[in-house]
Amino acid sequence: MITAALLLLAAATPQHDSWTTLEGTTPAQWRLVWTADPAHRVTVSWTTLEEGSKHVVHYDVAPRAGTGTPYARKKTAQRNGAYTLNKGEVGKITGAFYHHTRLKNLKPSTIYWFQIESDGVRSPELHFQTAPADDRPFRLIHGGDSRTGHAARRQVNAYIGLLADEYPDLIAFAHGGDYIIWGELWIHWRPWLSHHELTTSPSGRVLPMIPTRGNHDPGPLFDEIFDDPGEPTLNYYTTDISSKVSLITLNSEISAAGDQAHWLERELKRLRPKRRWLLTQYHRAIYPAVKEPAAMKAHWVPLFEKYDLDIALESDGHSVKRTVPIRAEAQDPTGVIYIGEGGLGVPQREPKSDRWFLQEPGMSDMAHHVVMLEFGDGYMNSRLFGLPDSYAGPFTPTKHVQLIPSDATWRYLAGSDPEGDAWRGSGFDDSGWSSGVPGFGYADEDDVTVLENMRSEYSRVYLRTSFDPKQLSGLSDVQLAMRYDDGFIAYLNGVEVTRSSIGSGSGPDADEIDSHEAKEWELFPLGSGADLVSRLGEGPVVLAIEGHNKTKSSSDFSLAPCLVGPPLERPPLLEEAVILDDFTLVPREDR
Amino acid sequence: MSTSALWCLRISVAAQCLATARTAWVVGSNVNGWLFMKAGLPETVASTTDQVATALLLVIAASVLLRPVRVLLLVSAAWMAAEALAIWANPGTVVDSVAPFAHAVRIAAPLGLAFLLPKTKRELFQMPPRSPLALWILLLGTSATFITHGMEALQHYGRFVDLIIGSAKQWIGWDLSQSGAEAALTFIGIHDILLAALLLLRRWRWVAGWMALWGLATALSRMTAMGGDSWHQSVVRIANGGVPLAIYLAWWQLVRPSAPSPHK
Repeated sequence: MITAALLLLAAATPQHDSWTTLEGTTPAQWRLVWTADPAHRVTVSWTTLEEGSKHVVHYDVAPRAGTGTPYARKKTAQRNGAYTLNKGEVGKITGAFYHHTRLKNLKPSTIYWFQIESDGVRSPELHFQTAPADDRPFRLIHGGDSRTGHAARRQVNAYIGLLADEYPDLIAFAHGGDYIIWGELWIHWRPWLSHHELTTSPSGRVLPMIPTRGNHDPGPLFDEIFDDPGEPTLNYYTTDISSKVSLITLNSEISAAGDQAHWLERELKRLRPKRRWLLTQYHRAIYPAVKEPAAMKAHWVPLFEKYDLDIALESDGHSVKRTVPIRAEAQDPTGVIYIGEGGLGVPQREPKSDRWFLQEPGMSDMAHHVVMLEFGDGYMNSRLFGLPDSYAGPFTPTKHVQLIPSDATWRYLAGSDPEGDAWRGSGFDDSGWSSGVPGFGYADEDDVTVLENMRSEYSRVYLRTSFDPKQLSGLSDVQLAMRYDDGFIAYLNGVEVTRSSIGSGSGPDADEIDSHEAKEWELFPLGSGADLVSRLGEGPVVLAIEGHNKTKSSSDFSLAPCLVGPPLERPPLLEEAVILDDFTLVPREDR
Repeated sequence: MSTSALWCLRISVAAQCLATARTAWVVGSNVNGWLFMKAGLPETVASTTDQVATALLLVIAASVLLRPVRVLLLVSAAWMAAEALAIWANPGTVVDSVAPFAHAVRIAAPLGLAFLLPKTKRELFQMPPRSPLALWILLLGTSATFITHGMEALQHYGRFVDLIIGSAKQWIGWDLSQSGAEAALTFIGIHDILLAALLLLRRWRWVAGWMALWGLATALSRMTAMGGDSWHQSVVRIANGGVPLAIYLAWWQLVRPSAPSPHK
């Protein structure tokens, strides 16, 4: 247990956003896309910052990197172009370029090793497995809703990478849509694509995606990123993952009752007699755990039930659920089971667990999660892996990059006021001040440096410490975290940066001091690391804080500061996931 | 404005408050979505907001039928505006960027009514006061909603396509093709925009009457296409027909040159 804890701590370093940095013609943001015939075809897609002129995928059935043996085959990208910038983005942000290479005539159930090359710059060697053309067992993962919660998104993606190495028969990742906040903005897709690289396993295994368009993914970028899955803008299609399993991807963001419904009926009629397992995925939930039933319900459910669909994979609700089998609005063992419903990073919502279709043997829960579907010999198993939300909940300094830790030693002056304002700046000699560790104060039993004589004697305490501005490098945001009672003013190199509960003035002249209880940590943003460096210069930076009690006779006083950067992340551990649901189904003919 | 017009508004506001309260209580409001997803507040805060809103909307629904109170009507209008702004700020479909315009008539109904309220209890059951400002609010709200829906129809918005196909199938057993529904939407889009323009520019009474019928029909299409379970989606849109009906009734009984009045 202790060893595990130490390992966790040792691993607690900022996690990279991606495998590669988007620069020049370095192939970055790679992804594989499956639509039809994944036993023989895959689209290899990637991004370069600069347009480049020669974009190639080298591939073979054995690893070649570092062996001196060239790859047996290579294919030039058939489709290249600039990602469409929203009109509000033009001239304000840097665009990038997509490249798609469609590989054909692959061997089924075969591991292919590949490298992407753009103008002579190569990616790491990666690999993937083609789908089976026969009836052999395999696994598939499904998840949706990665549009917000970037830290959690990176965690879930990294976990998917671990699953890819842990389960050799895991061959694809079906995404239920809502990748980002708004699909017309490249500035939203750009980090998603980099974060998606994290689904690459530590051994370099890439799971081909079967993408669904969600309601937050409008616009041309979806098609530019995934190479027009199905047809451009329509994006509904069938993926025959084996000879006995088909996944029909539907688009809940266009007309559900028109051409798409007719196509769906034709596909269900064609596939049902041939497939043991027939699945569909779409974004908006028809039997939701949180929201209203989606509008497609009236048009699609009769077809699902008429043609005995087995599983419908749903997203959008930001919760976890598996319904009872449903037919004609009632529990029926021959009915369709709806599984979902979106947890690849988005904050989770409390499911409405009193809904009839979520009762036993169905379930509902809330957690970031992925669904693993295993198609075995005479069964299908669905397991919901719930990930611990390590970085949710109240602020904790140790979960952030610490510039001045919460247990750092400070110089402090209590019982008198310093002369003038020099004490706030960097040239001040504070060697005559006392030393102590936060919190400073008395009563409430929440202080380390207890100021026994403060009550009724004085109402102000002054703190100073310094840190190296090199620590600020690369930090996206810096925050002063405070627990305080009643008010404070903070200075960086003599310049006031924030205050709370003090209306005006400072030191003995401070006025309009409000009562404030020190409870949870409160955060005061100070800007990005780069902003602060430009303002503060290169020498040691002094953080000075004056703490005020509303009155000398106040019953308590607390002043506990720390200076932090962004949250730390650590790679997830495979065994950390909780199995939220484990459910096995036998084929219809065996029921 | 006539008593019948005033009652028309009162019923519309009460009904939309009930349907909005139902949505907030059962599945969560759009404000809830904004607070939780966009503002990053805990779900408990968003849910508590919904609970408070539900209670308020129920009180307003009762009040507007029994004894309308101006402050409560303004609160109702503010909540409808907040809902529209929450959709705009946290969009979930391609048409959400115009939500404040699409919802304009829902905001206009309680806002206009607030300006029409009699000052004394006795006046409540008598001829209500004339208010050019209130009538303009109702006219502009109706026109904004019709123009916005008209533009969405011209773009063949998928939900509208499905409402037409679904309604045709449910009511006349007609399996209308998508291209047929899209052709109908082109006509409907032009029709809606034209009606809004005529209402504002010509102020013909029959235009308001036709908009009332059409507005109610489009609100009911949620139920005709998706079934009775979608009743709240129809009721929340009652102002689409209720407000033009109030305008029609007002113009029917009273013509006032200084107000935006009908051309006969």
